[in-house]
Amino acid sequence: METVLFGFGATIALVGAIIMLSSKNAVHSALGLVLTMGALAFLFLLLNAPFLAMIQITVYAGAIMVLFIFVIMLLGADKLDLRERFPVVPVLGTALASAMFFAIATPLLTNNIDLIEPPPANPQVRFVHAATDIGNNVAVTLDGALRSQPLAEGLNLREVSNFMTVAPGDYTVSITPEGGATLTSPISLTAGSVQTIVAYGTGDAPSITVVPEDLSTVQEARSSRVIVFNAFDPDISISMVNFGSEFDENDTATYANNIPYGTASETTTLIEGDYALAFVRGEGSSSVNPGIDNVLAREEAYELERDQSKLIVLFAERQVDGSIRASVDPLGVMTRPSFGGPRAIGIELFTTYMLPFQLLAVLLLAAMVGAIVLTRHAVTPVKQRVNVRRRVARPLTNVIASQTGHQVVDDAPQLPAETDQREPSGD
Amino acid sequence: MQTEWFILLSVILFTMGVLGVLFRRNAILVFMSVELMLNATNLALVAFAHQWGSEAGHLFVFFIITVAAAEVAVGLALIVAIFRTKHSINIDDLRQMEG
Amino acid sequence: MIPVPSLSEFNLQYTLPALSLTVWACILLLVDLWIPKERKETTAWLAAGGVVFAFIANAFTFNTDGEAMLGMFRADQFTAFSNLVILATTFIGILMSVDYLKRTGIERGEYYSLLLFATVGTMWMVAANDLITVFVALELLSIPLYVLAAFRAPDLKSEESGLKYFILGAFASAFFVYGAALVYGATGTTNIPAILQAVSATLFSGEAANAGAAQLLLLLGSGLMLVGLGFKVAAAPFHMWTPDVYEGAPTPVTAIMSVGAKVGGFAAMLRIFGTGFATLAPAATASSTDWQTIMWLIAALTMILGNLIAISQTNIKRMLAYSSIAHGGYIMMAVAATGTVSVGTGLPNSAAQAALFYLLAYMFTNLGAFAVAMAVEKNDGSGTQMEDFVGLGKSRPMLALMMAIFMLSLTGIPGTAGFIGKILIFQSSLEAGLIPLAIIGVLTSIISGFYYLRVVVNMYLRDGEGDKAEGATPYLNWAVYASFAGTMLLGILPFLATDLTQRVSLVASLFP
Repeated sequence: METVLFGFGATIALVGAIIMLSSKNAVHSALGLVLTMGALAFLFLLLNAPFLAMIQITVYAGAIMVLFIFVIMLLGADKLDLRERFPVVPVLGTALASAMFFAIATPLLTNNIDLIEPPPANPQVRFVHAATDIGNNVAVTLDGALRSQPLAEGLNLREVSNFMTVAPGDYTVSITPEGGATLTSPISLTAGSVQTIVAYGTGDAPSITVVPEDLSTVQEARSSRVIVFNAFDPDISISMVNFGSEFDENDTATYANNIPYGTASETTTLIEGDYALAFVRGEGSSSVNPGIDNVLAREEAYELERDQSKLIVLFAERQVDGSIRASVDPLGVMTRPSFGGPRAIGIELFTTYMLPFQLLAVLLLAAMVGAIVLTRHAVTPVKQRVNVRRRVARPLTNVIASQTGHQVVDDAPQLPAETDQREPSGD
Repeated sequence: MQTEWFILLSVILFTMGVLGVLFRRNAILVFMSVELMLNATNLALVAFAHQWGSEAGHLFVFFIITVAAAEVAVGLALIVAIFRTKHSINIDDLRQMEG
Repeated sequence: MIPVPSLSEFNLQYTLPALSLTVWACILLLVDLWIPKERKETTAWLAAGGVVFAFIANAFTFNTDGEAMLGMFRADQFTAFSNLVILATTFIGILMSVDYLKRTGIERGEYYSLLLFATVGTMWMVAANDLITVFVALELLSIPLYVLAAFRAPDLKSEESGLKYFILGAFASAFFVYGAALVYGATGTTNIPAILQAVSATLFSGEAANAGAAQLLLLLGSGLMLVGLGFKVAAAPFHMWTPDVYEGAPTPVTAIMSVGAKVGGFAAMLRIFGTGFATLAPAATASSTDWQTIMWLIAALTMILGNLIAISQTNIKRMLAYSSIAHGGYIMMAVAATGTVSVGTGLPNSAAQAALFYLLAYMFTNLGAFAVAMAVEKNDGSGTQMEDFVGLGKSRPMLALMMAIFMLSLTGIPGTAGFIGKILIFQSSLEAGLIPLAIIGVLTSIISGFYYLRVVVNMYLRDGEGDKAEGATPYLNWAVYASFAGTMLLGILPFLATDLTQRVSLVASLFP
């Protein structure tokens, strides 16, 4: 099917290009080019580039080609091309162009370029502080074989660091609480993986574990990935259920069931919207009301955005009186936007490609000024204003001359020179 | 669908654009042939971006399209200006300077 | 929750010279609207002020080494030294333009804004660390120059010059981007350091299945990019447009074009080939890269054609056009020398340093020669024939002396900047093992003496009335003196500039 569609698009593109190259009439050529551009937009769709297909149609086939046709019609240049000549240079050019074509095309067909595999991306890693008793202002470093990189500084409880991209390899995580002893834990980061390091548990020596995450594009529409991590109590396994607004027995769903302490749930994919979440002791049940006693924590109106990877951590929060209470910490990070979509391109434009984007703005400004400079002079030339004055004087002098038979002015008024300044050809 | 086919089409279109620049004498058509070359480039970039799964190719196409718009503005202004003076946009007539 | 980078991550302080001038160019465009028509000189001084500010900012950021704009901008001595050349070009260019525009009746405020746009385009280009940035900056450099070349419209010569430059420039850009697209196809990235890594990894990892297709795409891509950049720097056989465009454009624009566009083009060439393709060789143990041979062939052809055709020219602007082609060949020689694979020995770096020094020397000398040509030029654009220089030694002895020095420097006579530049270039090409190229360089330098010295002969030895050189207005004279000072200073005390290029490195910083 794809091959057929490609053949269809490619044929139209080639036909358009041939029309453009061979037509004697410039307007036909322009329409041929529009055809090619439209066909290319179709091929862009085949290649997963919907946004560019749109731009190609609107900006290229639309705005730019309209400008071309406008200028062709403005100049009446549609038929100016009739005296085509074929001197030696284009013949040489054809030979060179064909040589270039074969130089590129032949080896491309003999070498399978699909074989090139993109190298796996470097691993990304972040740190979540959910350790109840080690306090605020924690510094985290990642010590590799080559160098030591700070992952987070001054991190408070419930806070999360940004993702950091590091080279793959074995590392040691060092967690230094303010005024406390440094905790270390070895982790291994493989290429292409995304990891969240979680420090959790009560006491001076919290546990450290690694939760793998998935930042690739969420395939389901308007959805996000959710992972629940149990960091509450070593003796309790938890479940995350949906209770609706009230504890209505008929409105329950279990999203994560029976997660033991220190582990993460399977990934569930949820549609965006408002959720009423409850974290319950033991097994979550979809049919039985677990009873209010079993509910450890609630998140009444939890708003889930789309295209996120959510890590919800249920951790132990120390109360003023020393007792422990469960607390929820939803941590979201955006997944990779869908490939080739406007969002993906927009994000890149405003982050990595900020500099060329700004330069582009300056470039367009320069082009605007340039277009004005180039075309302005002909609108109000100084010479013509003089001529207008003379033309007004002309009938008057003619009248005087005809009535008196006497030439009033010596120099005859002159019309603006409209003669063709074309050089004689064949020089 | 293999990337090669898209690249092959792009090479053909690019070569046709080169031929257009070399053959056509009407400045507007020469200029349109350059646009065809840029379009061929766009196709190659989108095909490669698809193969690598990287956005950089898409961004490149975005920049090429916008730069082409700027180029068109200046280029057509130049053509209009020279047409006003000379009443011809045949590039064989551009021989004020002996060379 | 879009991960928005904070402003500090952009490292804007590194980009200060280019950034300040970009902003200033946009402001100048607005300010110019309130400057009355008869006092457009003010715009020129405001533009020059911006250049001076950028120059100072560049001096402060001279010794930085880092990346800015999230990896799009490379701030190092290479960037800073190129900026120095560009900003000096623009400053002298403004001095040359002020009176010339007035007496030829084309004085308009936009001229200076467009000049600054072209300047910042070059500045961003020399620092570009990504093929996309190179492309956009290249266009930002070119588009204002197309307009400036046609600035004397409705004069037909000027319009033709603009249109020819535009069509060939757009053609060249298309080649460049197609080349960049193929390189992207081979490496999956447009970032130049990442291309270096990908090239090294693909070619030397022993994965034969990938290497064949990737190497092919890389070769084709680099070749097409070379064609595109070759057009921009007027290297043979892509130099055909140069004489016509140089002759038709207003002379100060020609002068700026002959230096500015070359700085941008060669800097991009050094960055892309010297850094990105530094390891693009048939084998890991090869002594030279794949592109070195073609590069030195182009260099040789450029030197030979440029110098030989220049001999027969009777128009000073066309003669200087061919001379600038020939000098492009000498710089190309240094670019070819960077293609000798010897990471660690520092040879590519010393070749790049030689190229940068040569650009600076060429800048002073060439601008000076154009300034004198401008002094002799009449208001209607005539007076650009070689014959117009006859007897100048008697009528304007000072101007003639300066012109003689510039011609000697372009030839490469000891004591001038041109001599030191050529010595450095020949040295680096000998070290790189390109002995035939060095011989061609020396021979063509001797040939170039014929036409350069003919100007000197015309000025001093031939009898004639001598042109009064009415164009030698005070500001233009300052431009001549500044160029003269630069030419002599670099000729006698070359270490002033070579010290500044000491830490220029293409790839050393990438292999710590």
